[in-house]
This record gives sequence, structure tokens and C-alpha cells, in this order.
Amino acid sequence: MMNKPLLEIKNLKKYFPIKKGLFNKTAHYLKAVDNVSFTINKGETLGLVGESGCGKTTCGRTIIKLYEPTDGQIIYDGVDIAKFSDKQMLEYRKKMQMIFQDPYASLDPRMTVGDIIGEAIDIHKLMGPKEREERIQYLLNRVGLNSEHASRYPHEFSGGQRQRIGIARALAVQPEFIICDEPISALDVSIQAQVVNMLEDLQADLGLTYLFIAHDLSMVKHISNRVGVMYLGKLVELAESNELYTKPLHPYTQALLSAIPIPDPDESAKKKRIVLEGEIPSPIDPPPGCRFKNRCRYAKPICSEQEPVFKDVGGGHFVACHLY
Amino acid sequence: MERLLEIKNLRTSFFTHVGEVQAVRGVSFHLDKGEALGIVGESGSGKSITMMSVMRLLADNGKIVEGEILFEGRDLAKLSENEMQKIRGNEIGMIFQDPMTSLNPVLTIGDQLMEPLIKHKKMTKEKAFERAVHMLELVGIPSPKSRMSQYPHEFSGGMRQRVMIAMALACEPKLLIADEPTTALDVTIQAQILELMKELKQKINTSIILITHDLGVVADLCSRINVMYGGLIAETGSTRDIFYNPKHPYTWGLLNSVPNPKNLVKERLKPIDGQPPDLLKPPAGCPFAPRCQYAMRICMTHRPPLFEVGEGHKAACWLNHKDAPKVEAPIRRGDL
Repeated sequence: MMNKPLLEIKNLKKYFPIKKGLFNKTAHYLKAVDNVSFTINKGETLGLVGESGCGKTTCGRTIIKLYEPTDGQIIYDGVDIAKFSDKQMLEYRKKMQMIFQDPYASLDPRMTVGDIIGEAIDIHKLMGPKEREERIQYLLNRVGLNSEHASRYPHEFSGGQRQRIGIARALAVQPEFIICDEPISALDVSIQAQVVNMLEDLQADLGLTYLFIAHDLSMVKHISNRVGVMYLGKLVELAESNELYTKPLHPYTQALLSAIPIPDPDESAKKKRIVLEGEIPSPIDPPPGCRFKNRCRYAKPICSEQEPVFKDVGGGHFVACHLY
Repeated sequence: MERLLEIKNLRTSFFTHVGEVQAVRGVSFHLDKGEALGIVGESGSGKSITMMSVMRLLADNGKIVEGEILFEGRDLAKLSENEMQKIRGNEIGMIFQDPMTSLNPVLTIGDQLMEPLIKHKKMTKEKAFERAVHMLELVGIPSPKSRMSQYPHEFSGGMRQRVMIAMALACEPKLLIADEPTTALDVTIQAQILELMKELKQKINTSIILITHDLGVVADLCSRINVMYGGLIAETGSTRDIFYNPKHPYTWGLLNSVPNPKNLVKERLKPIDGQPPDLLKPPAGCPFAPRCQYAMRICMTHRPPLFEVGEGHKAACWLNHKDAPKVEAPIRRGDL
């Protein structure tokens, strides 16, 4: 079940033009996602981690075509959807859904919960009114809310409950693939665990495939089968999650992992932290070579000259670094 | 050690059109000079409102109903607004939770950073500028000099939070209140900020109160922890007490609901079911009782006092009463 790729991303690029001057001449490009390739297998959870501004959210949004990709292929179930028009995409929007980061901003405050969940059903003209009603009730129960909540408005719910509404909305059109963009980072710890457990149950029951974007590394490790690490628009490392956490190869991944605060005072005192020096370079016209070189402890002359290739160093452990 | 802050039986309420929301319902604790105290709890537990009361920054409908806030012997609850202004930003610095809304959008970052320095420390503009640039550098903002003349909207969330931290630390306050300072930041930046706070604590002997829901962050920085729930302190003790010998079921729940990154075998998380209490109608008994699997009859009707369970370690749970049934703490820390 795990080996068939559902989604293949090949050399995906998303550049945002930066306009300047009186005539809006494009002076520079912000390379938010630059030549990223990976695959997501059916039924698996791929985690995507990195710091803010590394392009992980842009990557997710480009895959689902909320942003038009600049270049590259997005092969979903054998079909390249990268150049599809909105009309062509409509069918794929049923298969790919998204759960957003901010449960306070991603629900329309003037729509009832029932209408929020039912909107996608209406757009795709999937069901008649009675069936739609039943589907909404079913979805609300599925995410641990009551049927009567359908007539209420988002402001009447807590953050955790709102995120459940967001999940119900994503499930409304029976998708195969869901992009979870930091779905738990706005929630309380005890509520985070509730939502993560629910996402896991839904995956097991409905055979969903997830792209899980987050910056909470311990939660990403918990939920993901494989984890990819992004830095400044590039994927720098990708491996099976236990492998990545026990044997990180890229110096950036090593620093990132060493920075996780451990909820254990003795362990925390023992731990040697690799504190990254230097500044995060601007993604606007980034320098040639490895993008991490100015913060890297192991940087060599070659790192400034040549961009490291993202390659398999054995057992599906990919890394883009001149050390390997 | 010298006492810096002592809070005695603080009660803070908000008077809304639907009634009195009792956000803080009788909280007492103290902080010594140079100490770092963590306040852990979920949203609505009263952790932020406790510190907002200390800063006297409550919304118009909020009021300190009862209690004393002794800062170096002075009761802050009774000071005038004018006297409070001399303390805010100067003797007590605060880092707010939301970096997106806590900076003034119509003033440059430089102006906002220089304001407390000119006002409290009576620096000249040139000196203040220099110090502000230094502070920006300290919190890791690239090209700080050119950043000084920019406006908050030109900064990312993480960058704004760093500006906030620079601002709070600019006057080298005696007490730094950090309300979820790293929640919006990335782990590597969080690590830098935590190192920075540790360094400052040692260098200028700043006391720190860190409000957070991230147990990892308190484990690293704080020597003592207050766990808050439903406007009350559920458990208080040294960091080691709270992590290795917790005595309150809510603390057990908190510790169990975070994944351990060292665990290689996938284990299901154990969330705390249910929702926090409605503080408009606070429960008569223990606020955690409806979500607690060990709840007894007394828990519903009588609020548990803070039982002394060790030296400086107290827990507000009836399980610690001498007649209560003995319950083994279901925590998996020991088998790490």
C-alpha cells in the first residue's frame, strides 16, 4: 500500500516577482520554492518542516494550486496538473483538500458551521439537500462535534473545535489527499493531542494521504512516516522519520533537531545545543552554491561554488550536502 | 535570596454584559531575585491575566478584585497610573504573546525601540539609537541599522517578536515577564532566544517569569514552575518536582499529551478529553474534576487546598489528602 506514489513533485518552482519603479518592472524574484522534488506514497504521511520563510507553506499551496507554479511538475495519480486551468482543476480539488493553520481566520464568521462544511458539496454539486444535511451531520459527529452545532457560527467555538470544523470541511468532498498546514500550532497542548489522534484515526479509516507541514518537530516526527526538511526554498534532507531523527546528515537538520526543547529537565541539561550563527539570507536572488553555507559549521570552498545535488545516500535517505 | 515579587491571593475578574468572568480566582506565589519561574497552563487558565494584573494592563472591564502584588515591597495593585508608567518598560519589561498586534504600525521600529531608552534612561537620541541597534543585533536581526527606519509591517512574525524582545530588554529590567515569547518562533530561533534569556539572567540578574504552554521551554530555562488551571494554581514546585514527581492529575495529563522525540516506537498520544471550565460560572469544586479520571465525590463540591507534598512542592488535589486512595502517577518519564 505504501509503495505506490500518489503524488510526484518534480523540480517544483514558485517565484514571486518583486516589482519596482513607476512601470512595475520586475526587478527581482523571491524564490520561495526552488527546484523541489519529492514523492508522497498512497496512505502515508509526509512531514515537511523548516523555519518560517523556508517555503514549506508556499510549497503546500503550490501543490494544491492555490498558487500557480512557476515551473515543474505536479503529478497526481499519473496526471501532471501543474499547468491545469481552474476549470480543469475543479475535479482535482475534490481529491485534494487543505486544513489551514489559523482556525480563527480560516472560517467565514458570517457563515454557519453547516454552510461552511457544505460549501464544497454545493460547489461540486455532489448531493441533494437531504443528503447534504446528512453528510454534514455525519461529518460533525466524525470530528467529535454535535449535529446541532451545524446551525451555529464559528465565534461560538473554541480554537480546538474550530480546527475540527476545518477538518470536517476538508473531508466534505471525500478527498484522498489532505495538506495539513500547521493544523495544530494554534492549539493548546492537550487539545493538540486530541486533533493529532483524530487525524490519525481518519487516516486509518478513510485511507487518507497527508502532507503535514509544521514547525513542531516532535509532533511531525510523531505523525509522519517520512520527513522532509526545507531551508530557504530548497529541500535539504528527506528520510524515514526515525532515521532522520536518529541519524540526521545535513548540518542544518542537525542544528534543527538539537534545538528541540525536551520536556525533561535532566535530558535538557545534558543536551549540547548547536546554536546556529549568522543570518538567514534573503530568498530574493539567493547567492550561488549551497544556501546554508554562511551558517554551516562544515562549509568548504566547494559549497560556495557548486550547488549540492539532492541525492539518495542509501535506503531512501536523501540529502543535499557536499559532505556526502 | 531576596524577594522581588510576592503575589498574595490575587483575584482578577472581567465584568462583561453576561456577567463576571473570574479569570484569576485567588493565586499566591513569589519570585526571588535572579530566579526564573515558569507558569504553565492552557489558554483560559488565567496565566496571562495573572501577569497582566501585575503589569496593570487589564482591559477596561477587567479589575483586580482582591489581593496584593508586592514588587520590592510596593503594592502595584494600589499604585496610580502615573507611578505605574515609571515601572512598566523600565523595572518590569514585558514580551507579549502576539507579535503581530503588539507593535505600533505607524511608528518605525527604531522609534519604538528608542522610546523607553529616552523616556526612562534619559539617553540622548544618538545614544539611544546606538543602544537600539545593539539590541536588534543581540536578538539576531540582520542589517539592524537599516532596519531601524522600517515599519512593523515590513517585518515577519518572528522578526517582530525579536523586536519585542529587544524592546523589553532595552532598559535592563529587574523583572522580565515573557508571555509565550517563543510560541510564534521557529525552533532554531527559539533556541537562540532561550540562550539569550539565560545569558541575560546571568549577566544582569534579571528575574524572569515565563508564561508558556510548552513544557520543553520551561524545562530548559526555569528552576520553578507553577501549573495553572481554571484560574487557580494546580501545582507548584521545582522543575524537577513537576517533571519527575508530579502530584496533580492535570500535570500528569499535560506531561502525557506531548510526544517524546526520543521515542522510536510510535505510541498513541494521550490527550486530556473535554474542555476547560467556563469561568463565568466557575465550578464549586476542583476546576479539573470534570476532565479528571480520578475525580471523587468531594472534588465536585469542595475546592482542594494546596496540599504540601514536599519542600516547596504543593498540589491542589484531594488525592494528596491523607485519607484519599493512593494513586500511582501514570507518567512515562521514568522509562526514558
